[in-house]
Amino acid sequence: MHRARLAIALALLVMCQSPIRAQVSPWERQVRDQLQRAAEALIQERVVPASDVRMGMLNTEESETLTLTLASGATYILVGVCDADCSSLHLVLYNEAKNYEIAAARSVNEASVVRIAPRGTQRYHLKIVMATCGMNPCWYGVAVYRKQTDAQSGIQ
Amino acid sequence: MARELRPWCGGVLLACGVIGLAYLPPRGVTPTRQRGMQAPQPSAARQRAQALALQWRAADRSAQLAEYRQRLRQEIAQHRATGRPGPLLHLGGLDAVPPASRQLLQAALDTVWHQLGLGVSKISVVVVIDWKGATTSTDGPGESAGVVYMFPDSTDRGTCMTLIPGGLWPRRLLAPEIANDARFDWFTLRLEWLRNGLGPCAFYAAYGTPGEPVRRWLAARQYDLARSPDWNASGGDRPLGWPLRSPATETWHWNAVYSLPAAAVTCLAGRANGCRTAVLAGADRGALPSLRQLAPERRWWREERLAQSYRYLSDVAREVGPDRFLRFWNSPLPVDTALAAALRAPVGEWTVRWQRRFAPRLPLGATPPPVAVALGTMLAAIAVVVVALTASRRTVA
Repeated sequence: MHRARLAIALALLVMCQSPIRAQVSPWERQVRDQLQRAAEALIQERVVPASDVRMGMLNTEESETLTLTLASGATYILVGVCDADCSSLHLVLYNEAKNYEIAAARSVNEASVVRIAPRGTQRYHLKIVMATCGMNPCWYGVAVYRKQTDAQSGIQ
Repeated sequence: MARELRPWCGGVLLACGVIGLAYLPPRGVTPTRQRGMQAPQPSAARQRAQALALQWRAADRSAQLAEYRQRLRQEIAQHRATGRPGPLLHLGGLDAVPPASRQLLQAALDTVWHQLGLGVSKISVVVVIDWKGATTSTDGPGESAGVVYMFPDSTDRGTCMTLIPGGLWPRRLLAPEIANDARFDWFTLRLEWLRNGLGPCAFYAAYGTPGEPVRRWLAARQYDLARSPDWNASGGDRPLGWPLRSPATETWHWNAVYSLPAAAVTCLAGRANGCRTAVLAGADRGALPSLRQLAPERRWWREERLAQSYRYLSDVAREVGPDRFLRFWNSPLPVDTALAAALRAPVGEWTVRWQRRFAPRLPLGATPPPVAVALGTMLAAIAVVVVALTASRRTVA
């Protein structure tokens, strides 16, 4: 029962991020569906969303960087997905100075997932790289989850 | 010098002076051959002023397009969200558009979109028509600048915009009363006008934003190879016509031919090397930034780097099919490699074959007419015979 409620909450959160809620483009919808599936797969780990879902478009080899503040003592799961024209989206987490790679996921044909348990509360930079896109630009979506028992975190 | 030679030398010098006065242009004017009713070339200062005015008009229209993108942001987002196939049409300008013309325009735009085989596209296309009514002066700043494009950039990766000037010709094309005018095929003319107005934006809608090498190559060439999206055209190729050739008399206009770059001329003559150079010009400019906006010269034929370049990529897409064309369009490989892979042939050889479909081989070098050759040979033979006879009489003594 608890899992079902959590799944519904996660799905609603993924679906309600866009300003135009009712209708989205087919590619954006693909990304939302994938994020929803990823959220459902994470239910067993008892996660809650730690921030808003970030969505956008990138051409091949282009990247975008987000700034995250992750709290100590918690475990975070960062999930990156992209539309059907994209076959590889990379997530690379750097320290605040952007000179040290903390964790990365460079998946091909599946969602990129980065897990991190920071030792101290600090800011990180998450670089989203569109590695392969068959028809530019490709839609991507990134969601950040925190294990339910962990402390508060924020995203900027 | 012998005294009897002096009148001859003087006569030759005088003739040179007369010819010089008659044929040499005044200072500051590009030398050109004047023929018949041809207008004289403007002076260098006037040419410079015209070029500056053209640049100013293009910059003005580009700024106008950027304003439109900002103003239509919400509408574009809604259009994208509704999932309606086809471009978003916006009628700008100061004058009100008659409802009948508006309907004709929307219907024609939908038809063009359908003919191109496009549905809901990843990159939204916005067509802005700067409508001018019959009462508006047509000599405004943007009137002669032609179509202007704004390609997707990092601030909006999903929108390609085109601003089409709507002066006298569009008013005529969209006038409801022309339905009864059987002199021209107005429906086809209307579609052609809109298709060419979509230009490179139709390629963006069909194949997305090109990969970095193709993007830089096309930017360096001002997108001249992608001006006419017509990859689903049926029927034969339209033969090469004005300004290079007269299909009626089947003669070349040599002035126009030799105003093309050398590679384009040798390409018309069927030399694969020339074709390769003409097609790949600009592909090696690594440092050139990608183009965000394009305001092409309205008289495009003046800057053609390849005869009929405006239809080149459209014909490539038609021949190789959408999948292979998409691989080329999106390829990270150098343009020559990617294009040859899509064509499954060397670029030069394919281009020679492509030009033969609509133009005969350009004859380069000496090509005297057969009658002149026969006459010349006969005169030479007579001269030889006369000399031989004279020589034989002398040797008798």
